[in-house]
Amino acid sequence: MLYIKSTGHGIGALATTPADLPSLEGIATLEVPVRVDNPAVPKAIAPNTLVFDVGELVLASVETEFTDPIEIFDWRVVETKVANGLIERRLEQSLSGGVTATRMPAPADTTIEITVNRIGIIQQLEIEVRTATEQIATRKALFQTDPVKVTVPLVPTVQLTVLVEGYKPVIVPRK
Amino acid sequence: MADQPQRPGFKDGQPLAAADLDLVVNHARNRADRHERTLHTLGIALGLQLNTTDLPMSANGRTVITKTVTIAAGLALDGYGRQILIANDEPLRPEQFEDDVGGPIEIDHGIDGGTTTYPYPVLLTADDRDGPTPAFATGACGTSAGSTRTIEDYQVMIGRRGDHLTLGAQTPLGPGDAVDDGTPPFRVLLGFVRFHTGLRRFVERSYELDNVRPRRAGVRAGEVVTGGDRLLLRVGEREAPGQPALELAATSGGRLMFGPTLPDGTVNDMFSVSAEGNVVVRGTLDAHQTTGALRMRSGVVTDGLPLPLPAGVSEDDVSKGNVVLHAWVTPRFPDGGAASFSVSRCDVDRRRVVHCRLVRLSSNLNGTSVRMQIEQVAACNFFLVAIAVATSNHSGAAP
Repeated sequence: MLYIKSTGHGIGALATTPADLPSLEGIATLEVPVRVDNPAVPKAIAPNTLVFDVGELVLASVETEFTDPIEIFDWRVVETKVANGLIERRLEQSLSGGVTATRMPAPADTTIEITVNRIGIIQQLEIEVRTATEQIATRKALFQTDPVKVTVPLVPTVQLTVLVEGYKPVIVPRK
Repeated sequence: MADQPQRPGFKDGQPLAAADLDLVVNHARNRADRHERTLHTLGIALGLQLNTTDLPMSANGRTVITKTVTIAAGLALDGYGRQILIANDEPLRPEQFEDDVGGPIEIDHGIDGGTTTYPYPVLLTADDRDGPTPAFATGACGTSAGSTRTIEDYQVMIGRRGDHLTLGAQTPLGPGDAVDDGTPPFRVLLGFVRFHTGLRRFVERSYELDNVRPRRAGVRAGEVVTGGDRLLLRVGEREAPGQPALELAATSGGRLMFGPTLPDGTVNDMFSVSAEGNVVVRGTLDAHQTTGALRMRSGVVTDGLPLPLPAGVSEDDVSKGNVVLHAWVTPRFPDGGAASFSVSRCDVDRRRVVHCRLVRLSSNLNGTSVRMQIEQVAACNFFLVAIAVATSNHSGAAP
């Protein structure tokens, strides 16, 4: 399974007989699809593929009961450090409808506002804002209020993808 | 030029000279030396390990684990065919390090403290010397006095740094040569030690430096024969279960077996070949290096992921052209009800990354228009074959 290191979003999967993981040696970037939560957003272009530096991704072996690897796009990986510095990974289903991301009206249309609902008693969630080719901002949603609003200024006017830990990605249409 | 060997002969009434008796001794000795250096290769035959005992000491407020080094009793053959025997365990005195090295001692500044030397070789040489003079040695009818015994002794010395690299250049004696007073000492490597110049104690013992290790004595033979029904080659100074062993057995019409030894000294047959050519392998048979051998991997992969190599094939194999890869991918169509799908692309690039895009086609109720919608995510079935090739003229993956 391939997932985003910071937010845990599953963005690729491989089902095969138990063996070594595929090698990312010699690969600098990967262009992978994400399954967004609001594909019907006007001007959104699907599939929404994003380019990641390989260093932003983790390739790990996870046992699942999925019948189709595509199901991984609805799940995320939660990492827990256990004894001896090892990392234990478990899958949690990404939630829908808890995140909205909107571009502010002109002339402030280079600013987006992200609203995130709290998940349970979690204190903070990681946020990434990306264009199709790169990460442009990272934020934390700190739940002093519920929901919490996070503003990201100076974003480009192209289509953006907002990845919030625990939720399915959402798209901010281009200006 | 070497002389042919001579042996003494005696006749009744012949005056017996010391030279005659010397010839008796030397003939046997030279014959033994010739045997050792022609039918054996030089090195340690038994023992002679550098055993250590930890001795914690304090230097500049820090605890340093020093080593007391003892050379275990044992026997080595030098390049002249001489046996070098250490009859009893021999301590390696720390004072000997500075005595033997003499000149500037080279410190390894890569080690904390700046007081530990680089590894220096511990060398062993044969050292024949006269024994003690007998109490009643002078005789009225003899002209010579002095020792009538030669002690076949040895010397242990700390060599200079880098001496281990020159040991292979020592010239063994030819088949007809004999050791004489002008023959230089032949050095046999026992190991390496590091020395702490502050504490004046050894602090490390090792057995390898610059890929040079103490040599083990060997056998020079074109034929090895047994009168029994079993010939065994085993690795291990003292016999113990689990040592890798190769056995040639006359049982069952003749068989070659390899595996670990069992407590009863027999070989646990993990791999064997019968005299009829039947092969039995109890482990995994790796045909990796066989030209034309195939290794396969199949499964399902989502768009954007690199394909994994078949088990037993490494990235190095691919980059060196030891294998050629062939990949097949076919799209997996999602459960779309009445929808049809068009394949936008389904292929594998040179990085072995899969690209799979699908377009969902749906028509309106009366079929007058078709709506196209690109699927957000797609996956494909893959089948990857690696074929071992004979040469390395291929340039990596060829999906």
